[in-house]
Amino acid sequence: MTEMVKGYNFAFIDEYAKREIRRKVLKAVSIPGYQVPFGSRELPIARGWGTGGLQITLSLIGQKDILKIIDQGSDDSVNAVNIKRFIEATTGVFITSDTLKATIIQTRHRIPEEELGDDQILVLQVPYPEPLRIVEPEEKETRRMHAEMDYAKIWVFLYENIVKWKEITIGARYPVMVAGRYIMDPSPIPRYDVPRLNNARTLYLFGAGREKRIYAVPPFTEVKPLEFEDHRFRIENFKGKACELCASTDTFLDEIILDDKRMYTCSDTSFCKKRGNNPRVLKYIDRNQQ
Amino acid sequence: MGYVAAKGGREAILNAEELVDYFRLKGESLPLSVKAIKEQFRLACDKVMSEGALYAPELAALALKQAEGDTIEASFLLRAYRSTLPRISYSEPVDTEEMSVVRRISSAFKDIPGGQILGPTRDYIQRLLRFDLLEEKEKKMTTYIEEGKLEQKVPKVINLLREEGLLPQPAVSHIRNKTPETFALDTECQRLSNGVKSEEEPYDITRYALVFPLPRSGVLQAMARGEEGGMMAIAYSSMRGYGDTHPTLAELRVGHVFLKIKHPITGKTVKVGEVLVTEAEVIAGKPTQAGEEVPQFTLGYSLVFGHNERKAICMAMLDITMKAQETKHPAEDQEFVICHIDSIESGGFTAHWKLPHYVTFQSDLDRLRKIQKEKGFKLEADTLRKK
Amino acid sequence: MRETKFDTIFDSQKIFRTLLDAFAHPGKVVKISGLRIGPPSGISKASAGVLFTLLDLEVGFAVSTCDKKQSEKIAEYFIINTGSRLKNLESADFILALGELPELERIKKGSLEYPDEGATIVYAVEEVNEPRPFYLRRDTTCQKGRGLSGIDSVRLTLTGPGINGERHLSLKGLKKQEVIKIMEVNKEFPLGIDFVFTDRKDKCFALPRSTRIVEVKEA
Repeated sequence: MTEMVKGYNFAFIDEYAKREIRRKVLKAVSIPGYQVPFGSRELPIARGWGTGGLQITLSLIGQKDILKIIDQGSDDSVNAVNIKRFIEATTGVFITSDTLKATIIQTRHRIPEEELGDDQILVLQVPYPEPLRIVEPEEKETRRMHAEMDYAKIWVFLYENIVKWKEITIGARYPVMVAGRYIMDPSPIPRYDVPRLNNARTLYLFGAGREKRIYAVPPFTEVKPLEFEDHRFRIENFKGKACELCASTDTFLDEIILDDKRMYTCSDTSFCKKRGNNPRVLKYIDRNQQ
Repeated sequence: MGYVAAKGGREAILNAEELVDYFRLKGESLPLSVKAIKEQFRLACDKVMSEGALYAPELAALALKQAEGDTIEASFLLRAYRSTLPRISYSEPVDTEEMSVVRRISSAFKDIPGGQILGPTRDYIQRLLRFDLLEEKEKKMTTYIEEGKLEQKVPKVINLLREEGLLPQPAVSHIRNKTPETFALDTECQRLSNGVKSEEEPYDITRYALVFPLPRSGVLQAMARGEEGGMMAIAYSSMRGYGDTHPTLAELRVGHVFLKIKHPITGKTVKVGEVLVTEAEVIAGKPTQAGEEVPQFTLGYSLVFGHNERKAICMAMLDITMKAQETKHPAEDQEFVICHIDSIESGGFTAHWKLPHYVTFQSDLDRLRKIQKEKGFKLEADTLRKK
Repeated sequence: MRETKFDTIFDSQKIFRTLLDAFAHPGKVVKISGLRIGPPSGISKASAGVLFTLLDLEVGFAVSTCDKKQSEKIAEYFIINTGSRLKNLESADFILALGELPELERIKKGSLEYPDEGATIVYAVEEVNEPRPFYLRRDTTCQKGRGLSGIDSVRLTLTGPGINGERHLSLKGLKKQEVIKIMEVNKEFPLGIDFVFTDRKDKCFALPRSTRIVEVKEA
């Protein structure tokens, strides 16, 4: 357990900063998918390394919370460890790697495989909050496009993609439509995780520290990836591949290059361990697909 | 499981922390004293204070020591420290005509009231490596002239131009004493006017999100915290052809100004400290005309912490270029300039590419493999390797 | 007047999480309890706690009530304890409404570019309840008009983000006409006003602008 650092407020940032973030989080939840600007503070962790998610977590967290932090699905990756060290040292809360035990999960680039409950909050770190940035560099203009629901440019972009490549080229960070109103960047989660946002039981909060935006997807909210009638949204294909460690064939896999071969392991390391012990542990099942 | 990259993180991080200290100190030299850095790496400290947005010479020197001379890293240390400091009071506006000047020049006039004061500048020193400094054992230059003679008060050049009506009068008609109450009131006006922010109280980008168009006070604040190199690249693009500013440096001055606050109990103005600042005033040669009024020059302004001439000049230039009616070039685009000059942000994001991205990359791989297949190419890695 | 036993760090944190739960699940009745404060008569600890959590010098608030004297006293209480500034209805970010809904058309609804600038209203009513599931409920028709004499009651059916299908609520101290005004003011989503309803027993629920009231019945 890391020792608590002295001389700093509980959860590091001052109460004025927390209050502002809390007000903005409530507005974000009230207007699903809309990016609320906020006065992002500098933290001892670099901009672009999860400071938006971190500021949300620090504003949410209380002494009784149980926290899980992952990066690329893993609890042990250096960045996840670094953020954990910081929060532990400034709050003293319990840290877990068990997805089901956590009250708050902060994540970069993944949603855990197991189904999250309605008393949990998932905080996603966001590098680019603006889904329209790929077609329009200027903030003034993208803000107008959202205001007027003028989304023609991104539809044209996707259409031209299909014409040229017979496939949409966006890998992760696949744009979604939230509650039929706002196009939203789901953060760089793989497409595999995108259906998890739709009608979920959990509250998803998104924080972009460098770009100073907060947004949210409440539970039971319709979240649809942008797709065409004749060109459906498609998740990553792991057909014929299995995790080398737990033998799962239904999880998102990391591809690993070794000297003599190529192999795959689960990206969600905590889930992989559970499956390793008990192959019958359930992952999230997409009820909307059934 | 040695192949699972970047895991077992905690131990690795602790080792890295120790290694950093080892590399800092492994040579034969004695540890640098913060005092020596503060005094002899004066300009580096000034840069760090300016970009770290905190006037604290000793802490800037400490940050430089800790960061092994990396100014961007040192500025980041100061910025992060700044977030933890309570805001006790707001200072009174500083009148730079009251500045104790160590250096001031004007390229607009041959001679000016108060005279051209060259001060400590390398401008006219030949850039020859001074090998005698390799073995500098004693201080040869400890006294120059009495401090009193070095620092003096002189009138400002632009005031002369203002009196002649060549430059517009300052836009700020009155500045209230800033208290949390007036500040909140101002915020209110800003919210009400929906994006068009009031100019009476400075917009504080450390408290409110950047929204565009940003009022000029917010623009100046963002630039005062900006990174010299980034600002110079954009300002230079305008100077050399991506834009048509043909500026004249009306005045550049470096010196100390007093920081004053209203005493919380007596209400009297009291001096609480002194800061070294660089101020530049640049005039755009092309006349502009507001409606039917007299055609006048446009003024670009800058004020930055420390002795920081390049940054001050670039900031004043950008203040002019961003006033362009039409944005034809990068330097004229307020959003472009303001979003790309903060080294804490750009440096942090640049560094973040070192973080694992294998989930997103897997997602990209999936797309490319599918596209290759769709287009009739089958270049599976395994088959390639077998060839 | 000055509350010394309100813990600005941990009480605020707990109330915020309760509020967040309420906003994420519109219509879900939550409770804000255990506060050691003594707000002026006319407002509940929950209403005070919500505003303590959200107000400071960077936002403005208004108190909407017919009793001017009471209004002044309450305003002073929040100025002293939060440092927030008193505003008129047109410019307030937060409005505490007592007894009756203020004129909603005067209140900020945000702009299409910045809809988040719409205000939040904390509306104190008599009582809020989630009705028991229908199979446990007694025949409701018998209760009609029998409730507390003289107090208006409504039943609401809600749908929208945060709600799995539909959610039902019953409120005492709210007129059907007021509910219709709320529906009216929030029909131009994303423009609108977000509501927190609090009752005398410190129970609350949230009604963000994204929630649609699909049915309102006088009970």
